[in-house]
Amino acid sequence: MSQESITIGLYDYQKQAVVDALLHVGLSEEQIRAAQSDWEPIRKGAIERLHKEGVPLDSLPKHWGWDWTRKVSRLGSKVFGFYGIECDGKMQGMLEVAKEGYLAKLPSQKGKPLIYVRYIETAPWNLKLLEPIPRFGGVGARLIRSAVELSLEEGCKGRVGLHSLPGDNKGEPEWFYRNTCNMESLEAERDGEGLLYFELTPEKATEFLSGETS
Amino acid sequence: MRTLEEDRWIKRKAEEEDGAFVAAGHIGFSPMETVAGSSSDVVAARVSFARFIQLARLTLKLSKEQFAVKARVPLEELVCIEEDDAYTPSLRTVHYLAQFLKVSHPKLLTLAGLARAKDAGFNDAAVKFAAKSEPIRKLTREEQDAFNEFVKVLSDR
Amino acid sequence: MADKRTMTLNLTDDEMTSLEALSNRYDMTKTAVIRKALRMYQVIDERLQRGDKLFLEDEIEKKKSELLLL
Repeated sequence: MSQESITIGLYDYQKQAVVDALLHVGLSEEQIRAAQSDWEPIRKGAIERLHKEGVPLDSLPKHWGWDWTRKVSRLGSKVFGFYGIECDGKMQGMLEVAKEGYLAKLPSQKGKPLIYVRYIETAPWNLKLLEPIPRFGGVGARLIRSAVELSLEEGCKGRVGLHSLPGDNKGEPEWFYRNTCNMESLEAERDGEGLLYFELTPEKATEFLSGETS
Repeated sequence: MRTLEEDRWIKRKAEEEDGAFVAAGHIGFSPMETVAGSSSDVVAARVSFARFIQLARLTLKLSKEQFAVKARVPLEELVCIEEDDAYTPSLRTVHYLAQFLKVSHPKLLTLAGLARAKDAGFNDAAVKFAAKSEPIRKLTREEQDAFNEFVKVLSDR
Repeated sequence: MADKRTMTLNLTDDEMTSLEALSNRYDMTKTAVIRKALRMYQVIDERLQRGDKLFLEDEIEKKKSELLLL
């Protein structure tokens, strides 16, 4: 995937305004390593702090051990795509998608090609769960929007699929995909780790891009 | 350049998202095995196992297919070990890998995350090895040295 | 988005029928189908050039057969 950077907006909670950010279409190894090195200690430290404060193990975020540097072998692949949103000199969120090998599972779309989100993560300082006052807002939604736009570009009509990390209370991953991204879940398509499958139909993709929620 | 419409969109979505925990992908590790125990050990072990197998294969100048045949492990599993962050190998595969590479079976099981380490020294060695090895196509001299050192640790039964 | 260039493609009746069938089945434009096919071909070609082989697996029978490309 060739690299380019586009100016987009992110909501800055400190300035209480939308500010310029860069959407990187395609990432370099250096960018991924820098992001991992920025995120990992804060992510781990915050989760360990929550654990010490008495949050049950079951309720702790389950991406504790994620390592984006292990994905660098897929950089430059024609099948996988990487996106990152940079603001204030740091990566605020990253996304890895697969352009091939995944077909829609929702009955109304079954068998049609889609863009599959292999990994998505927003920087730990943007999560209310880990930081009472997040730094930037809308990072997750903007990354999903990138996947939807890629889906349109690829002729997949906005179809996007993913397996969400667990949690359907407000502010948790399943809640986010269902409520902020208009995605539908499919119980029967949970993966080997029991993660719930979500999919965006072309119609819901149009609503998502226009800013409507179901 | 940003448009007014895009700004309205992101502001609305930021309100809806409201600092939500956004994540999709494999879990790989659960906090239960990391926070409750020694977190960096498990991370280092998982990274080290993938790196070790990959470096071993490259040291022997074998393709994945050739390595899988010689080690008597399924090719799909070898690919997952080297490339899939979330993959936990089967006991059988780790057994055959230990045999083929002539390293300690219990230690390789620990490295694969299938057993707990019995001594802190092993964990330290795994952390150092993980730190020195990078995603690679061919071995650098430093990686070769790191690999040889780590083989000594694993071979010490 | 990368700049695009236009080309004219001459297909036989059979090839056009196949392309239309794929386009209908996957609810994609014919152009999108061809772009996808090109990408898959590039990926497979890269691996073959490296000495890898392409296998298809029968999930039920657990049998693998090699896809020969000449």
